[in-house]
Amino acid sequence: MGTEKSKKYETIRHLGEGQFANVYMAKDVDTGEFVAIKKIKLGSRAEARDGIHRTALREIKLLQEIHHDNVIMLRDVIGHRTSIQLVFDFMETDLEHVIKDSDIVLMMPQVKNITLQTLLGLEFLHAHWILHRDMKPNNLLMNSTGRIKIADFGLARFFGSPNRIYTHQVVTRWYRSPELLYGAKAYGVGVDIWAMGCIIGELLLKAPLFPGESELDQLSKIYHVLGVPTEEDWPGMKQLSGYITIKNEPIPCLDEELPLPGQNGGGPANKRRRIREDEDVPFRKKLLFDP
Amino acid sequence: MVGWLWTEEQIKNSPSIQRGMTEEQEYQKRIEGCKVITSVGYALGLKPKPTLATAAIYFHRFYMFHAFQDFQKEIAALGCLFLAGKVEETPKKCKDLCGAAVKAYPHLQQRYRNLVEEVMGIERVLLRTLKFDLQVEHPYRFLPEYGNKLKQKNIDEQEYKNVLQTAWTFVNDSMSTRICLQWEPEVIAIALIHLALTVKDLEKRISNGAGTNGNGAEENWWDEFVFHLTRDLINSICHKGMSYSPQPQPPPRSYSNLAVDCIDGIYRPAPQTSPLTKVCWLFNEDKMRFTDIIIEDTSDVCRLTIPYVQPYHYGEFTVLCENEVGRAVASAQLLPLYE
Repeated sequence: MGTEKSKKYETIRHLGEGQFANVYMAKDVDTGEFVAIKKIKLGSRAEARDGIHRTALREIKLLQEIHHDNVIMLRDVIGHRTSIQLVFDFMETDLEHVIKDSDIVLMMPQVKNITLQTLLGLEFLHAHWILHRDMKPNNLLMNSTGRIKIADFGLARFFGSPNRIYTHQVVTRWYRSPELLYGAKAYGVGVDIWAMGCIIGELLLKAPLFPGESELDQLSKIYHVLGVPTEEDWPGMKQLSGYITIKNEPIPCLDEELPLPGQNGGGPANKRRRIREDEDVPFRKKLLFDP
Repeated sequence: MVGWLWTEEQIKNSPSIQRGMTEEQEYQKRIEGCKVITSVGYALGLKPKPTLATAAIYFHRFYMFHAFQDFQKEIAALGCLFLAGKVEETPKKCKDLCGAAVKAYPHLQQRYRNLVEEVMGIERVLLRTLKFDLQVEHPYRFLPEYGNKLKQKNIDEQEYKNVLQTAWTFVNDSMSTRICLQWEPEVIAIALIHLALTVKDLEKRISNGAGTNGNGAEENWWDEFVFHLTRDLINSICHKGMSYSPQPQPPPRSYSNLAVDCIDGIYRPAPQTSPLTKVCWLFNEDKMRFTDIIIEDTSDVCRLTIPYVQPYHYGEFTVLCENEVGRAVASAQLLPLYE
């Protein structure tokens, strides 16, 4: 089975290397379509210590079940004696590149479009009881037609039972929601939605919204902008295992830019500051402490 | 699910049987393999739902493509358990898994120089055999949903709980049978609820009032869940799901403190009764309704024999004897080795 199938794809070039996989661009010989092949490392002992890595199994298990325009499609899985290859749609770029590229100016309609596509994909995942748990610009892929697809399901899992215990060591720090930072072990779709809010902010800002340098710094960066939540804003907050009290800063800081809706790009007059309660910022609702 | 079901004919022609095993031998190997899954799984604190059940399904499917002559059942069983652990988010280290396996089956250590390598090796074969189709559905999921339907049919809360609990045990027990190769989990769930109803003597109450519709076709409580399932088919699935006798037959794990001795499923409560007047046997504190057990009441001993122990026999057997001198009670529990 393995040899037959691998001839179906012609490797073009190496795209990148992750902890557990190498990614190649390849061409489907039959259809001429470009694909991305994720080759799971099995060779060396360190990676194979516990067999096929769980992240790879999660991707295989979850992506085989779901098909949506805004979720990366697992086209094929190839099993070799020495490796396992996952064949995905080929996507030209990802949002991290788009954000970092200073030549690209994202206008409000584009941000809205990206947001809508991502939310459609996320809604689909949540409707199928899947938490992504690693939403970040780097995992939102984009192709030449502007289609956004959610990728990298290495941390994703089914959710449902409210008393199930999950690890809080998920989601890249900058996009991690306060409940995760406080060590919550029972959480839900909120973690993906929070990350989504951070991503929308980052698209508008062209810089990370909360670039925390440590878990503690992450919380203080969040509260810097949103204010410190009170027990009223977020009932049950103090019961979380990792809860720590953070002092409220009395003066909103006014030194960085935060463009607001309707003011495309944001001029120097729009400073990053504490968002007021009544302010209508598009991602504000995604950044609620107790949604 | 598509592609993972086989016909009876195909199952009776599995690779191992084609290579010369008899059907009984093949089935016995499957049961033994599933025993490895459950005993090592329990030792590691894993539960039937979902990890052990998933491992068992992987195991049964694996041997529809490979022969027991080529792959040792213990290694395949451990590989299935290892993979199911990861898939069901209850991962166990391969080293720990093999450690538990060696403890339960010391001969593995002598037979394999590097058990860990063997298990990791078979994982890849397993993944390819399963065509990376790792997500499997189990009958457990459908039990509460289907069971709820019974509540509308003169079944009270306590009876409902009993039926569900019994059906749940049947699903656990059916793991080592081949029914998962032949029917969808929905169908199995229906069959085992039906069996639970029958055992609890509630089946008649459910089917009363139903029967046939205007067209002469039969009507059953499960019709709204799965179409075209006849009563005969459901009965035959029940039969297959339960048609194995755990070998060796499970000895009871606990006794009452009354004098009870037990050999091979024979219970001999011996109340001091002489002269004997009245004897009454109870099962789970209810009148005994089994037709497949033998009861011998003589003047000095009351004996109950279960020639073929079936999962529905699990429970408490009690004998009450009364005469003018007084009253004597003796009871014994029949428990499965694993739950």
